[in-house]
Amino acid sequence: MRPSNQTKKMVYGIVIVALLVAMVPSAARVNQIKVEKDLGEAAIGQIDSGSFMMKLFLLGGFRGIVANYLWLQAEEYKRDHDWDRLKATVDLITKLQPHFLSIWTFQGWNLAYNVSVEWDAPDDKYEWIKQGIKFVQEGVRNNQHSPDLIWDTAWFYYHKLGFADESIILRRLFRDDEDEDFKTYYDLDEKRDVVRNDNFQLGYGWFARAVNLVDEGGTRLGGGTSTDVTYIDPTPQRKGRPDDIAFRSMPAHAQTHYAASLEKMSMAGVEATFGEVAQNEWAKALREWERFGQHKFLSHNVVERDGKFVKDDVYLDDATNPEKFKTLTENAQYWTNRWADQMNYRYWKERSQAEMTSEGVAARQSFYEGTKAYKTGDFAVAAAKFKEGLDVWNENLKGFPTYREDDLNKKDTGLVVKRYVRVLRQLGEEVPETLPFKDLLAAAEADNTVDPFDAIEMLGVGAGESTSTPPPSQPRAAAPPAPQPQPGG
Amino acid sequence: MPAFLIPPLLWAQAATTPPEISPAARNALIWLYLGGDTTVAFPGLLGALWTWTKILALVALVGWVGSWVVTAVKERYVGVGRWYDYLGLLALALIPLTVLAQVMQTEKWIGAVSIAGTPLPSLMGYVAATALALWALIGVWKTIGPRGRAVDKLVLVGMALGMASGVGVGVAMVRFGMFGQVPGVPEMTWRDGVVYGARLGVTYMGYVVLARVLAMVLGELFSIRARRLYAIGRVTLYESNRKMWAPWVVLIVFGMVLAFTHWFLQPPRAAEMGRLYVGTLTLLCSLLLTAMVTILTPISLPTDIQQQTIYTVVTKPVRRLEVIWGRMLGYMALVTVLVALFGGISLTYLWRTVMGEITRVEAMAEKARADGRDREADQLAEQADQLRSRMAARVPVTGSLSFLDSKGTPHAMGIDVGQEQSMKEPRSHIEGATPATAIWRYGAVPDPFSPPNRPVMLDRHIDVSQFLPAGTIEGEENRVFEIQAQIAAAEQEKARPDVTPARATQLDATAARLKADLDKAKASFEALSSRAAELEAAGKEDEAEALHASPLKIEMTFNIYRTTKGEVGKPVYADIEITNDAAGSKFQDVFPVREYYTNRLLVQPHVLVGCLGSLRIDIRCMSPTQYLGMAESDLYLLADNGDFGWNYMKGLFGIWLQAMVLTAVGVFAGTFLSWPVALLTTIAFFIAGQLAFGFLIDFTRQAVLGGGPFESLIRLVTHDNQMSELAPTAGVVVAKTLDSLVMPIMSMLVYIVPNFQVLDVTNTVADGFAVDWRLMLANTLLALAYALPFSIAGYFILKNREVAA
Repeated sequence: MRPSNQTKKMVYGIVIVALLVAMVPSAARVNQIKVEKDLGEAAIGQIDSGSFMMKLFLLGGFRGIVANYLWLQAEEYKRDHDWDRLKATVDLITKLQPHFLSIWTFQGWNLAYNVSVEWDAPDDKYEWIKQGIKFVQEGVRNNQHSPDLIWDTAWFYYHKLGFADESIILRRLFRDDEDEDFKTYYDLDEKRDVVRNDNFQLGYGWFARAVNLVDEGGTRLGGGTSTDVTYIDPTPQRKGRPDDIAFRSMPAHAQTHYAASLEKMSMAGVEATFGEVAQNEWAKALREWERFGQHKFLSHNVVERDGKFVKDDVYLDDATNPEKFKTLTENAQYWTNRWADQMNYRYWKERSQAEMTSEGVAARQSFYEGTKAYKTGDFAVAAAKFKEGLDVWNENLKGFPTYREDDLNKKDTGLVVKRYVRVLRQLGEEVPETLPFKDLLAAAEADNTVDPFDAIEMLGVGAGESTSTPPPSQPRAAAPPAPQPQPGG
Repeated sequence: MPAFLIPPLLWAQAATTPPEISPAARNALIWLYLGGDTTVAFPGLLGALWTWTKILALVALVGWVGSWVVTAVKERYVGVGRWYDYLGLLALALIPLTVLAQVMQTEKWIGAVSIAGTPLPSLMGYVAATALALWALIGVWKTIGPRGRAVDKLVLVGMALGMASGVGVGVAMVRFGMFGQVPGVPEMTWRDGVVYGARLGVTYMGYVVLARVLAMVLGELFSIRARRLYAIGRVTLYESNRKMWAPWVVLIVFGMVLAFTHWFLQPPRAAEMGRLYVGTLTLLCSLLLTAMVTILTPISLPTDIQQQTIYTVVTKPVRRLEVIWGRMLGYMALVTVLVALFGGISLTYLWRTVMGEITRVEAMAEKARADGRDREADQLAEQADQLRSRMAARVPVTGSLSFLDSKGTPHAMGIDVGQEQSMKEPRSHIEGATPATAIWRYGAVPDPFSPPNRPVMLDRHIDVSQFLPAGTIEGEENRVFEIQAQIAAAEQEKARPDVTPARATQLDATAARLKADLDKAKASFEALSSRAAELEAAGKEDEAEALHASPLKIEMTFNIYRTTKGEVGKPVYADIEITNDAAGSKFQDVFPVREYYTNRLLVQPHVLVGCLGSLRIDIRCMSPTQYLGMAESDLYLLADNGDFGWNYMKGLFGIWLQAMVLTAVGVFAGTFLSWPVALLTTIAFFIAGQLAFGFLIDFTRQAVLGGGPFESLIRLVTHDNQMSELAPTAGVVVAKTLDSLVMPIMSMLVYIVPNFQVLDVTNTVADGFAVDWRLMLANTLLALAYALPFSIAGYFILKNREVAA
């Protein structure tokens, strides 16, 4: 007998309910995996509805094909210099594959570096760098356990804004940016979000966060299944591996650059800052270096000790502490020395120590004011300031032999000496025999390079204002060789 | 005869002096050649029409012969084992063998064998072609006897004549040395003439068949009645509405996507928002409409036939062409309504979002200015301005671009700095602080790419009245100049020694009339000028300004290539010089170039006065060691800022045209295929025409790397790249043979597959430029050129099909 319509419906109903019930444990299991592998959307407190819709619309399986096609298209847009469509396309890919780390890293870099470089005006460059940074930050929001993306964010703040050819202008644009969200980082010491006006501070904050995440054990590498796969040749975690010394030094580097940039016109049109503020920032830089120096690294080799093969503990800071250094085993001494040299640890630590003193800051202030006077032709003031500064600096450096003999310091100080001597010549005065750092003069005379991150050197004392309005257009007469008669023209 | 009608092939003369030929006969031969060779096309509307006719003729020939042969096989006039059927079999076997021999020869499996001076594969090919043609001829002849009409026999006779005249033309062309003598290639013989002539002959045969087909269509055309078309169209409209709910589905999807657009699409910069949104919305309209048409049109006829509802139509006095065209009308009415709705909705949407964004950004700029953040304010104001300029329909007036290099020597292109870029319109560069100049010329200018000794002139005249309207000071002054120029021209002509007395009197009268006009123009110019001076003296500058023509707007988009950074933050400067040689006026300015922005320059309109449509704009880069890059469309005079909404609808009209062609294809497929196959066919046509047309063109040019489908398959499986030479194994030879069989057939697709891409003009709309009426007309003709033949082919199939069976 054929089942009646009624029976059929009931059977179907039961099957539907049974299937739904059967789904519950599997859904729970999937949810648990999602949380484990940091693939959940709701984990971040908000659901990206656009992303959800797109994945739903493409029924999951097709999204790989679509993402592939979009990548190709993005590359095509890049070739055609259609930057805005490139960004829109890249956004679509991230909506499809928000947990695929490479897209964030690759395209974030693309925007911040490759796209920004194509634009001529610094304002436009800045806009694209900002787009790139915000893009990786979006990646961080989607992949909370990945130190890589946090590190990328920090690097863009630190390097792209701070070390570009136009960084004196870019840093100024950052300072003037109204977008507070873009200038916020989570401060681990203060345990709250803070807004800062200097990209190096942002770099510091994000570097510190990446290091902190590694210490907490965050190690997401790539896709969700990578942990279940045994690789013959596993890809190492990109950032924050246990022996990644450079990775751990970055917060200290960023803080040092911030402190150093305070003491010069590192933003076009923004006067340098000295006094307690500068001292505090140098002190903080020292703390960061010491924190880095006191991190325990393990020596690369193993040594037999008490019948067991062990790796020695290595602390970079021991290189600056002769008492402790003597107590180390030969192997530990070797690695401590080697890595301290590799990171130039002694220089950075001693530089922070030297600069954080009130004398150090006072000397820097004198140099700054002297340079300004020198550039504006006020030679009497310049001479006085340079003299005062050099004397104080000389006294101050007596306690810091490593820093005194460092090439970078020699270059900086040598420039001041060179200018002081020139000023004295202008004033018709003799160069005193007791001039401190006189030995640096010869090298400084031969060196014509200037600090590209100092607006006074690059743009002159009145730097800030001249960049906001374009320089007056050149009169026609100033145009180089007038066009020759053109045949047939 | 115009130069363009003589293809390069015919330029050179043979080494041995050919016999003399009268010019008339020579011209006739050239026309016959042009009419017969399908690979030759000349530019212009007429040329396009002719090429179209040639293709139609070939399609008609294949269709006509094909239908008779199919009937012959069905009715068992051929294919029953008589002697001539062995000819057909021979041809069938010989064709692949010929290709195999050819491939084996190129792969050096066998040496080159010639029999009586003809290479073996060619000989086999001729035999195969002759055998196949004979067999087909016999089939057609035997079928036309009992089933055809007298006129069909006449067509056969015409075809024979066509073939004969083709061969005749080919032989004559060889005889009179009209083929170029390529050095190193053996001289053309009469045999080559016959082979080439046969190719021409096929086209002539096609013409004969096309005439027959046209006669049949004309008869049908005269019996078409509007009311029956209307009735069928209405039924189609109801059907698509009721059965499929198609318009509603499409509308709802459109609304849904629109509601969530901002989830998927966040423009990075305000300046580009309009472009992104317009691009996305038109893409959405296009996708939805084409998807709807693709699904609706091929299904309807097959289902009607299957469900036998077609009886109710075909038993009535309805022409078959009406069945086809009525359906198309119905679908197009639906598409029209949807296009109008989509247009309205998306325009409202754009108005709300983009105009809202402009207001928002402008408010932000205002606020930044009030807060003293001038740089940011400038940046924001610039963004809003750029966005606004894209939400318009700009009418650019472009000149012809040529270059002077850094030594002042003229060139068609500037320096290639090696930047990767889109090759559609590559930019080339000029060096800063050197005489290197980019020159945009207006007026009658030589094409910079034409050879200097045989320049092709381009018409790049400026319509001055567009910029200097009558009734303004400059307009009237310009009128004075123009009339003076006309008088001078008349007087010059009169002074020529060969002018006839009648013409001289005529010229006198013209001059007199012009002089009267001149006085009037002068008077009105002076009146306006003095009025303006009075107003200015009275301090009413605004009113005085209104008497002048509005300033001339020049828009420029250059890119910058820096070899050094220079002083950071300092822009690269360009020098612009506008020269009006006719009136001797000049304008000069220096401006900073902003890369990827539209740099705008307002110029006093006076520079155009008296230019008679000719102008020269020079751009130099002023910053030493830096380069400025430009292409022709990077600098233009802005004639008009048209209405964006209207322009948007013009963009949608392009989509409408796509839908029309697709409807024709869909209905055509439905006439002889079951609905799933018809659906797939229509989708294939759409994909081939929309996404793969460029590939198809590469295909016909044999420019596809890595060989045909079978060779590519081998490369795919063996992980071989596209470039490497494959070892001539048996598999490779078989694959290449198969490719050689398939490729010619596939490459013919390019003639049949509609070029959907070219109908789409939405990019122009998104970039904020007006869609030219001439382009729209050309696109409409193109769409019709596809839609008509498809629908008529559908008619013939439906006519010969036993729908009631």
